[in-house]
Amino acid sequence: MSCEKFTENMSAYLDGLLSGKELSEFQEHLSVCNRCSQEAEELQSMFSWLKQAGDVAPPKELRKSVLAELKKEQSSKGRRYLPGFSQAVAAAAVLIMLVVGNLSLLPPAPLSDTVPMRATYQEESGAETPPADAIIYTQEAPDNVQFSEKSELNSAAGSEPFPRRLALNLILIPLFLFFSLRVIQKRKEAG
Amino acid sequence: METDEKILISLCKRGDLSAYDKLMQRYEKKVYALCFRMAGNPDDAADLAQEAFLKAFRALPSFNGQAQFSTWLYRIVTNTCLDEQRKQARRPQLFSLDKPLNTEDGHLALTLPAEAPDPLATALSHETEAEIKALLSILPAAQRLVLVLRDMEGYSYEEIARILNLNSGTVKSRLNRARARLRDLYLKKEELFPPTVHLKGKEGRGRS
Repeated sequence: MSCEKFTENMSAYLDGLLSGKELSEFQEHLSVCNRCSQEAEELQSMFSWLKQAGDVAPPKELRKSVLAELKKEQSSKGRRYLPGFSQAVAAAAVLIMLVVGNLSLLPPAPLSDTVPMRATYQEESGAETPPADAIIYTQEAPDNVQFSEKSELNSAAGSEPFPRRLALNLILIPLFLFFSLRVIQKRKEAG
Repeated sequence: METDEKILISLCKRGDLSAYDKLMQRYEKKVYALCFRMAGNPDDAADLAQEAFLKAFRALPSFNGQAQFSTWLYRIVTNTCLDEQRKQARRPQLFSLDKPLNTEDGHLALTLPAEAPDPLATALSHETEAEIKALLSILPAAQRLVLVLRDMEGYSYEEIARILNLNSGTVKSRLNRARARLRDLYLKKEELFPPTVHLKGKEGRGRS
């Protein structure tokens, strides 16, 4: 009879995992095979030797040092990278671009346009002291020319920067909404 | 108990450290014991246990509750221990911390102070402890792990299979091999540890 099969099952036998036919076969083999029964005895003796190993207690500072390390991580990483922090920065940047872009592209924005505007103001309100540059301008340009020029400038301000403003808003507003939604989403995810 | 743990885990996922303290309190004894059996000395064991608890906290958001928390945690612990063994195997070793050191003043075993107050029992258990550690350190890490889990920490085959992500047949055969190997060493331990080499060193031997 070969011992190999029984050697393979030795651990299962010692741990009480064999039952029925397997168990009775194993017990029968042990009663006839010196080698295997000695092996089983030696293993039992080894188990009791292993049981003499004392209980080990974790050092008192184990949890403390883990918590200290985690606290460090949370304060360095956690606070700088709040959930949705980068998205919030992006949303704020887009908002600034929106405001600045719209202000700089407002219809009366171009400098040349302000001069005739002031000139008309001076004409209408009469004797008030006008700005120096306005005087120079009105002196140089006759009224009709000034008027046509003004309307031309106005139309230029209306037709050219306006599609630019439109394009700017069309791009930046959805972008702003996108980032804002991502911030809300991230905050929700973080609970 | 179960729901209590679930609450603690969900608090930990939100970064609640006091909840993690409570969770660690439940498992630190088992986690540390496993690390201690794998490392063989208290300093390395404490490092391993700390490392495992840090990894577990960082990985908690990915814990979905499909496995038992204890199984999930012990898997992190065993992986941490095995990784460390691999690292140490690559490092050139000048001397082993697992084995007692011979110094001029006698035999220096790296053991924890036992809780037993009786000095004789303490000395005896220290000696056995040192032998167990030394013999275990000879086993390949994978075998040692299975043997420690089963014969020292008392986990069942199924639990070990789940922790190590192996099938129970592999656990059985690996345990069988580990036990056979340790038995050989155990039978030769008188040769490996001559009884004359006593913990108390020169004094003890002189008198007896």
